[in-house]
Amino acid sequence: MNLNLFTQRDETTWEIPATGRMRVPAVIFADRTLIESMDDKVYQQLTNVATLPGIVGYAYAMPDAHWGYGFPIGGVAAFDPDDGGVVSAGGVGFDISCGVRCLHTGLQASDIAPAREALADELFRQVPAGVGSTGSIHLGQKDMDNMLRGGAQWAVRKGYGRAGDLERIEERGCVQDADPSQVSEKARHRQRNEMGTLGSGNHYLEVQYVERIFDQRSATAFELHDGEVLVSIHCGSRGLGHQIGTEFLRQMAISAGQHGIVLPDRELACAPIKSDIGQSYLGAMRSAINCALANRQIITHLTRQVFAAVFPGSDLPLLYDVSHNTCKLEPHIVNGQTRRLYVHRKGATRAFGPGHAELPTALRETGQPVLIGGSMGTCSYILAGTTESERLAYSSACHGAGRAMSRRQAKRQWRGREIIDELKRRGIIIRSPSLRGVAEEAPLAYKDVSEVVDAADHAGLARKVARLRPLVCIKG
Amino acid sequence: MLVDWLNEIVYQMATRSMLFARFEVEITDHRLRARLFGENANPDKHQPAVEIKGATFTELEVYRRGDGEWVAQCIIDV
Repeated sequence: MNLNLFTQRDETTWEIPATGRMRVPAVIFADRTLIESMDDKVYQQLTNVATLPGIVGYAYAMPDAHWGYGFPIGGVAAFDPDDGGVVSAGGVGFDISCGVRCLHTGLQASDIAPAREALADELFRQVPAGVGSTGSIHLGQKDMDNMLRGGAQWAVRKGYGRAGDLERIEERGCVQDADPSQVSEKARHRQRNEMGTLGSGNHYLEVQYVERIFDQRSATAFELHDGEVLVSIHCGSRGLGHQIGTEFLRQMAISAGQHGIVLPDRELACAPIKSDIGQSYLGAMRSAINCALANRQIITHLTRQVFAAVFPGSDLPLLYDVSHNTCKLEPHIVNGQTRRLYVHRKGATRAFGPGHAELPTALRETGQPVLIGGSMGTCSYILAGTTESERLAYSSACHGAGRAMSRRQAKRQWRGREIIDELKRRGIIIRSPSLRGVAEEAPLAYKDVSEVVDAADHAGLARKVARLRPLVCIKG
Repeated sequence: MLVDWLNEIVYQMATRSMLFARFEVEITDHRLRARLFGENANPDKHQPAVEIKGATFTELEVYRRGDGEWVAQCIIDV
């Protein structure tokens, strides 16, 4: 990216002044290396977002930003419904409420060393992964409605997990105002047999250990200890979310003209929040968020069953669950005034700082755990929300490493079997139904997650607490 | 229509767990009718790497090349 396009505010803050049809300026958070290697399309897409009606403050891009459909991945933008603000299907993405949850195990890396192969086999057997994977739960129409309305709360009522899990999930496991009647038959059909499945692509279940603690005080509050084994689950709303994204992207692209919205890019498809289609999308999208939360809750239950079988007596309390493809109604302070805004985070994690009312008591002093997944075989991070993130980017941070290479390039460069063998030499066990999928997800096909996290930390979006290394990866 | 048609294939693949290899397509008066031929998805045989989420409007174009051949394209999100 050409750095002359920006006004550099500090080491990790790059501003694009509002010109042309931009209603607000834009900001990219990144260090010089990251922004230099960032796709030119991020600039174009971010400035396009800044032209949308009702946008408030700035259009933001996180350090892991890369080219997406319409909005860049790593994009954050907030809209005011009273100012003609819009909601955008492209601003949320196809995999609605894709996210990460992290479970403690109470075990040390040395405890699981002798049983690692058995654990990998059992997790691979019990947690459905890969293209077209189906679970053992088959939802009828009534259960589907209840799931879409109740999210993880529904799952807990059904016996998947426990009530204590809920306070460790955003919105306590259930987004209000979901409207299942806005979810099409096709979306429901795609989901019928997919509850409790990881899916494919970059989704995974990883057994990891705490390799390094950066901030002891926060780590203590998060109950993280050196060498402790954790389980991270990365997946989303499966076929239901994909179908909702597909349908509303089309509808919003067609109806934009009727609402007087000029789209600089068809994928920026959006509708006024206060329009029928805007409300309809919000009802469906919130149902998809609940679907993702229920899905991760069921996978949690399956994971606990496996651990109980392999390590009798083990307990897996939930550290936290974050979603990184969402649009949520939140109060934010803009120029000293509290406004209720629809915040789009596409490939960006909400990162509430210390004292936020949404956080459970045990986490309120520290700030929200911000869970950042790395690429397969590299490290993941746990960060904590900061107070200044509210002012910087509506309390948002990065979500992962971000691809540096296309799937096709990756496949040309590596073979799945070689990667599995190489990772095994480094002590990481991979289980996956697809060798081709493993090649496409090769660790080096991604940006360096550590660089991304360092930039987020330096910018003050969130602060580093701990780094995790994988031991076992179930790859979707 | 191209995006709608591709999304219909995506839906049929997802709900029938099938992969398709041959398509008979007929377009009359802005209506598309098609028959798809394929087989049940088999992870061992097909080694599918990623699920298709949906067809997008990105790079969506239908045009005729210099050599007279028609091209219909768009990016598929995976």
